[in-house]
Order: sequence, then structure tokens, then C-alpha cells
Amino acid sequence: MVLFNLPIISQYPLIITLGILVIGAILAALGGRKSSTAAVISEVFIALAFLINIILLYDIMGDPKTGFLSGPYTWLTVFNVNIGFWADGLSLPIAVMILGLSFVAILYSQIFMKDLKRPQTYYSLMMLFITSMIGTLYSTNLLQFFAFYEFMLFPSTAILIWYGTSETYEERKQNGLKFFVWTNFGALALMVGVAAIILATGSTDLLSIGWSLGTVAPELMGLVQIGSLLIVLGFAVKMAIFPLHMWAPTTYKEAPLPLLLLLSAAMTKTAAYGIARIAIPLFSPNLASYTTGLLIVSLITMYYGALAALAQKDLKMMLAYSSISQLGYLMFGYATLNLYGIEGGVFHIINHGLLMGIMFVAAGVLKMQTGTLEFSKMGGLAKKMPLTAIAFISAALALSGTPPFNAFASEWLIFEGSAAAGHIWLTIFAIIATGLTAGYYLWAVRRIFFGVTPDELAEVTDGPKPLLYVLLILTAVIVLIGIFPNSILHYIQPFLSAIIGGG
Amino acid sequence: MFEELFPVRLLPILPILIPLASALIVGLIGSISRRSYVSKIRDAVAVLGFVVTLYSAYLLAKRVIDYGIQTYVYHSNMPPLGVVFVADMFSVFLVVIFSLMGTIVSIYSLGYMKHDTGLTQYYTLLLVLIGAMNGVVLVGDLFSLYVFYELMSIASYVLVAFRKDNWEPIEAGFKYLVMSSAGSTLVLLAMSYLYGLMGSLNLGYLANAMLHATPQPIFYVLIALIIAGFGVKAAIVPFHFWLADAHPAAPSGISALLSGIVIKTGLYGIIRVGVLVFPIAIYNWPLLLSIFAVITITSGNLYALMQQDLKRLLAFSSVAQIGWIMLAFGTGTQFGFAAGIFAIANHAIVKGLLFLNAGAIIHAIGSRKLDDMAGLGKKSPIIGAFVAIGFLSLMGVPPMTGFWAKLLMFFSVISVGGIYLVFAVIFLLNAAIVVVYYLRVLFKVWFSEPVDDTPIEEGPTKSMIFALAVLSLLTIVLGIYPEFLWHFANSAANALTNLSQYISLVMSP
Repeated sequence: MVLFNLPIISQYPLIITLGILVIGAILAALGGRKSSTAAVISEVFIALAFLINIILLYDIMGDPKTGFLSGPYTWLTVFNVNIGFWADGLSLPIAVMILGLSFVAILYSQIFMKDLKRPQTYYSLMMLFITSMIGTLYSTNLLQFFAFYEFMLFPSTAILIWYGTSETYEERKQNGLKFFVWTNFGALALMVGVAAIILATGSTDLLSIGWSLGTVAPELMGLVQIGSLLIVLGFAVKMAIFPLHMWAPTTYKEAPLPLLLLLSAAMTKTAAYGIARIAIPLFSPNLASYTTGLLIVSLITMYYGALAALAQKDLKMMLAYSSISQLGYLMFGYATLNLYGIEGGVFHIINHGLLMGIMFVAAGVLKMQTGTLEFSKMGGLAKKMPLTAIAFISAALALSGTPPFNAFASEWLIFEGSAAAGHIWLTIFAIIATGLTAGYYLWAVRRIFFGVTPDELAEVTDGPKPLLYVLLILTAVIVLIGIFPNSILHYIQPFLSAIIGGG
Repeated sequence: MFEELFPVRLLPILPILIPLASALIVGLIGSISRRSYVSKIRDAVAVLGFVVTLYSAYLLAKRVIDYGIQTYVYHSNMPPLGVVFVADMFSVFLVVIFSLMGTIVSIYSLGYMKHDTGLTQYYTLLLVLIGAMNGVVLVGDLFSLYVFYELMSIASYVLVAFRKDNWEPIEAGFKYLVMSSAGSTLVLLAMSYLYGLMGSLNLGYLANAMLHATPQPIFYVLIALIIAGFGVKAAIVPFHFWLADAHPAAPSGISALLSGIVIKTGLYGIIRVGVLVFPIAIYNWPLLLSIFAVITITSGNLYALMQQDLKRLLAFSSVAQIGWIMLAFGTGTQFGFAAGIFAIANHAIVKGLLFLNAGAIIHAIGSRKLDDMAGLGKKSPIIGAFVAIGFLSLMGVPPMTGFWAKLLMFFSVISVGGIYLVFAVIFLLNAAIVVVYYLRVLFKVWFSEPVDDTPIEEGPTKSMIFALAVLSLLTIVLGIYPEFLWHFANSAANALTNLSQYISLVMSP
């Protein structure tokens, strides 16, 4: 502990972070009859949690292998289930990113959704959603992880149905149900996989899962294989990997923009984190033979997302499909099962989260100022909204893999990984997909920010100040990460090289 | 507190005596006059009787935990002639749950039953029901077990048909009576056969004799008779027909008891007699139980899928749940027993909550139809919250007891291996089916537009909210800290697998 020596906080920083978020949810529910009050309460508590995590991140900068552990506390004696909270170089950067984005999402709701019905419900559900995502990242136990992971579904489904964008209630209900059923069945697959792993290894400890494989009897290795495949399947549902992505387009279409930001930039990342933390240690020794298949599936996801994005007439849906496509990159990195690829994948979690944050905030500003997100009704907005344009274009360039933005480094690592795994052709196809990404983003930039301004938009000005600051800060962050990729990589590398070896 | 009022020697029979005595007092007070203050006193005495029962159950449990199995010999005759009451961890676990549910239902009934007449009979029968159930799990010989079992059944027949002005409860009660008596007859037949073979009905003597007896074909017939006979009360498919009529037709408090705990006594009979009299190592009856169990789970769920009536849906869901619990017991391992016992507690709490809440819904909208419940969450958030807690827990959402119950049962089934892997797959398929019909209710209540704007007729009274809140808190708190419940479930299962002490104490207390 370098920065702060307060007696209790320095001992239980993670429990306190979760506690702060839960208290925020309760206070927002109790005191938030006015929309702005509920929003401010949520913002304050998220900011506190964010601050704690930033300090923790700073503290472990010198030696990212160390982490913060609270617990373990006995939860259930059968299978020695202990509950505990752990944050290290792998989870802390993601936690900081998710908390930061959560703050943005709440701020954004405050500005855009002033006339919410029952704001206390909305904000407390958002807080619960955020709490469960952070809880997932901190978990030290497979069952604890699953508990938080599953719990995430309920607040998000409720927000989706109560505050969805569709006109009719029936439609919202249908889309919400689709989201719930798909992701719930993903969770069921995850649960069965976890059960198989627990039976084979006799341990429920999440952090040592790769090491506990050494003690598994040879005849149980089949169980481990089935278990790991089911775990990946479960996570793939939430990451919307083709062909398990069916829930994603309708859900993204339905979700209000702040929720969409959290769904696509934060929630899918908990699944990506889960793969890195749980599935990769299980896979890397046993299942190298699945690499090719997973690479191809990821490649299909990339192309599917990119081509669908190209066909959209509406910015929101284009971003949604782009998100699917980008998670294909992430999975592509993971599927290589070597250090470069996985490191690139984990790095891409953070990069993609930040970039999606910029994109959705920019989209929200555009929607608010122009009243539309359809490409055909926009044009020439670069002059009217210069700051938004700068942020949007930077993020678009970053997503297309342009240096010196952040995603360049992660995509480079991902492709280096697949090349090192010997899949030259697949790598070439993946790089071509990056070209497609550049294509649809730059086309979108062209249609929104350049060309002729429609007459209706002649009076448009740049968005509200707080959001512009957010955009500029996020843009600065992505440039900084792009210039100094090692600032993040040195956090994630130690854990990954410990499980993969080398590096 | 007041511990000296409960003599240690009598502890094993107090959970039976106190409710039966209170039933007598309630009946006497109720017959004095019909004035309102008299009926208030009567209701208070009934609730007090339950609270004291619960307290004695708690003292008994504490005693058993500290000092091991407790016995009490009724009359001076020693076994095999005298009646032995015996409290081991398994019995005590159930006694505490029964008494707790009885207390909660009696408090709930203060508000729920206030429009009904004949409450003297209601409370009397309720006390008799709980006393008899405590008797079923506390006696050490088959004959007394049968007596208490019948006492319990008769009390429950009348309670099902309590609202005798309508046709539905009468029909349901009659159906229940016929089916249940047929089941009891099978049990009696099996018992008389055992008596003829062994010359005693004392469980200790029977267990001891059967341990050394060479298996004969007739024993398998007896196992079948026991499972089928007790299975009627436990609503094992194909003996479940009465349940779907009886549970919905009863007043909601009684439905909660019937579904939550009364069906567990049937299971108790199968398990207690099976474990003691037919050693698992010799007679592989758990496999038979498992096969019945998977059939019960699957058909219960498929029936539940098609229901339009909330209470019928809950009743069929109980059939499925009892199947799950049977499957856990059907593993025949200590882990499976512990998981099943954990699930018994979970189901008692959650199904109790849901049936009691169904009563609150009937008061609020005057209907049991699912379609009429659209938008109920908006009209009455508190009822909606209880619906959400109950169904989410049954669905197995962490961190509620339902999650742990399902998880532990799944683990216990899968760790047996062999044919049980097939059962585990069926288990999972059913876990997927239940999500469908639970979601249907949840979406109806929370995510549907109300059919009309009429406000709810009558909100839940304070006593009803209290009862519902206690059960909701139990499922959440015990889910967040499952070790508490698991610890006792595990020691109860331990009592079921290490029988020597039980046998010797029942033979010579």
C-alpha cells in the first residue's frame, strides 16, 4: 500500500468497493424520486469505487503479480467453497475500465434521460448491474464467479424491458425475453462445465484452476475436456460469438444507449475476462487441437459483424454489429493459445471497452443534437460539432487498427499470435477483416461528418459540456495507451506468462 | 429463556404434546362463545401454541446436537412392546421445519382467514396436523408411525375441504381421502407382513433382524408396497392425481403446508423405513426411487408447463420438486441424503412463500388465473416482490437457497456415475424446462401491461406481510450463508447413514 494507509480501507479495499456500490444502489432506490438526485447519488458512489480501484492499480504498478486478497471466508464446506475477493494485474485494469465506463453511462443517463419514469428503479438497477460485473471480476471461487455472473442478468433484463426503446410493450418484452433466455442458457452451460471441472479437480478455487489440473486422474481428463468446452460455450454466448449471437442484435436495438454502452463495452468483457481467467488455463495444456476450429469461428464472427455493420442504415445498429465483430478479434486472439495472441486478446478487452465508450457517447451526443442516428439524415457535422467529430474519428481510426491509437497494439499482438501459431492464411483473412472495419467506419465518418449538411441540421451545435469532456478524456486515454501500450501490457503479462509459459 | 419449563426427559415428545394440547385448548375456548374478543383470544392461543412448539423443537434440536440421540419411552413397557420416541438429527431437522412452517402459517392465517367462519375448527386442525407430523418423524416403531400418519392425513382431509360451501374443495378433499387411504392401506399391508415375518414393529428390532435375514422375494414386494404406499402422500408420479386438485382447493395457508411439508412426510416414511429395514447395501431400493424420481420430475414439469392457474402451477411444480428431492435421496449416498435434506428445507420455505403469496394475490385480484395477474407488480409492488423472490429462488438463481439446493442435488447425482449420469442429463433438461414456466409467471407479473386500471381489492394485511417477509428473508439469508443450513443437513444425513446408535437406542432406550 503506497498511497493510502487508512486502517480499514487498505485491508478490505475490494469488499469496500462492492459495499460502496451496493449502498449506492440502495440509496438511489430510496432517495431518488427525482431523476437528477438518483443520478448524482449513483455517480458519487461509482466515483468513490473508481477512485479506490485507481489507487489499487497504482499500488501494484511496481509488481503486478501481487494482488489484493480479502478472505477467503468459508462459504460452504462441501467442496471447500470459500468466498474471497481478489484483484491482480489481470482483473484490476478491467475493473477500472468498467467502473470508468459505468460512471460515463450514468452521467450520460443523467443528461439524456431527464424525464425517466421511476428514476429510482432505473438507477438502482444500473448500480446492481455494475456491482455484479465488478463482483465477477473480483471472485476467487468458481461458484462465486457464477453467482455474480448469473445475477447480472436480472437487472439488465429489467432495464431492457422497462426502459427499452421499442414503442410497444410486447416488443420490448419479446426482446427482453430473448436476451434473458439466450444468456441464461449460456449460464447453464457454464454451470455444467464448472460442475464438471469441480468434480474432476475436487477444487472450486478459480485462481489456481490451471495448477489443480496436475492432480487430475488420467481417466477424468475427458471430464475436464467436456467441462472446458462447455465453459467456453457459455462464455461465447455472452460474447455473442457466431453462431451464438442471436440475442445480440435485437437486444442492442432495444437497449437505451447507456445500457447498450454497458452491455457491449462492459458486460461482454466479463465473459472475455472469464475465458482468460478460467478457460485458458484449462485449455492451454489439453486442447490445442481446438485452436483451428475456434480461430475459424472467430473469423466468421469478425466477418459476420463487419458485413452486417456495413449494411446498416443507422449508427446505433452499426456500432452494435461492430461490437460483435470486434469480439471476434478478441476470441481470435484467445484461440491462438499462445502468449502473443492471448495477451492481445486481454489487451483488446480494455481497448475495445474504451473505444466503444467513445463511440456510444458520441452517438448519444449526435442523437441528442440532431434527433436522429440515421446516416441518410446526417452530413457535414464536422464543422458544427468539432469535438465530437475528433473523438469519433479517432475512435474509428483506432478500431480500424491505425497507429498510434490503442487498438493497433492489441490487434498487432492478436495477429502476431495467430501467425506464430502457424495459421498464416487465417491471419491474412483476419487482416482483411480489419480492412472491412476501416471501410464501414470511415464510410460512416464520411456520411456523418462530411458532405452536405441537411437543411434541418443547419443550427446544430456541439453537445453538452460534461460529455464533451468525457469524450476528450477518453480520446486522450486511447492515444496515451496507443503510444505507451506497455503501461497496460505490463499488468496483464505476468499472469498470462505464468499460465502459458514463456514471454 | 424458560428452559426449565421444558423438562429434558420429556423433550422428545414435547413437539407432539404441545400442539395437541393447544388444539384442545383452542377448541375449548372457541366453543365458549362467538364473541369477537373470545375469538381473538382463541387465535392468540393458537399462535402461542405454535410458538411454544417451535421453541420446544429448538430446545430438542439443541439437546440432540449437544448430547446425541434422545429417547423417551411411553408407558413403563420397554420395547419391543412399549412405544419409543426417538429424536435423531434427521427427525429434529424435520421437526424444526414443520414447527416453523406451522408457526408462520398460523400467523399468516390471522390476516388471511379473517373472512372465514369456523376458525375454531381451522386452528384446532392446524395444530393437530403439525403435532401429528412431528409425531410421524419422532416415533421409533412402525405402528405408532402409522397412527400419527393417519392422524395427520385426517386433519389434512378436513383442511382441504375446509371451505365446504364450494364444490371444488369438497371434490378435491374426497379425492384426496380416497387416494391417500389407498396408500395408507398399502403401508399397513406392508407393516403387517413385516410383523408377521419378524414379530415386532419396533424399528430397531426390525433393522437388526433384517440385517441378518437372507433376501427373499417377498422383501422386494414389501419395498414396492412401502414406496407406493408412502409415495401417494409424497405425490410420486403415478400417484399424484389428488395433489393437483387438493393443493389448489385448500385455503392458501393449508396449501403452503401441504405442498411445503406434508408431502415430505411420505418421503420421510420411505427413507426412514427403507434405510433401517432394507439396508441399501443389500437391497438396492434407491435405484427404484431414482427411476420413479426422474419420471416424477419430468411429468411434474410438463404438467406445470400447461397450467393457467397459479396454484395448480405451483402444485405441479411441487410434484417436480419432490421428484428432485427423491432423486437426491435415490443416490443412496450420504452426500445425496444431505443434498436432499437441504432441498427439503429449501422447498418448504420457498413453496410456503409462494403458496402464501398466492393467497395474498387471491385477496388482491380475486382470481387465481395467470392472465389476470398481468401488471400486478405495478399495482402492488410488495406482492410482486414476493413473487420475484419465490420464483427466482425456485429457478435456482444465486444467491438464494434454491440455487444451492439444485447445485448440491446435481453434484450428488452426477458423482454417483453410471446410470445416474443419464439421470443427471434428465435433471438438466428439467432445470431448463422450469425456467420456462417460472419466467412465464414472472413476466406476467412484472413485465406485462395490466389488463385494466382497477386497483387491487385488498392488500395483504400486516400479519400476512410478516409471514411472507420471514420466509423471503430465510431464503435469501440462508442462500447468502448456506453453510448454516448445510451443516445441519449434513449431520442429519450422517444420522441416516450411521444407524448403529439409532438402532441400539430404539431397541433398548
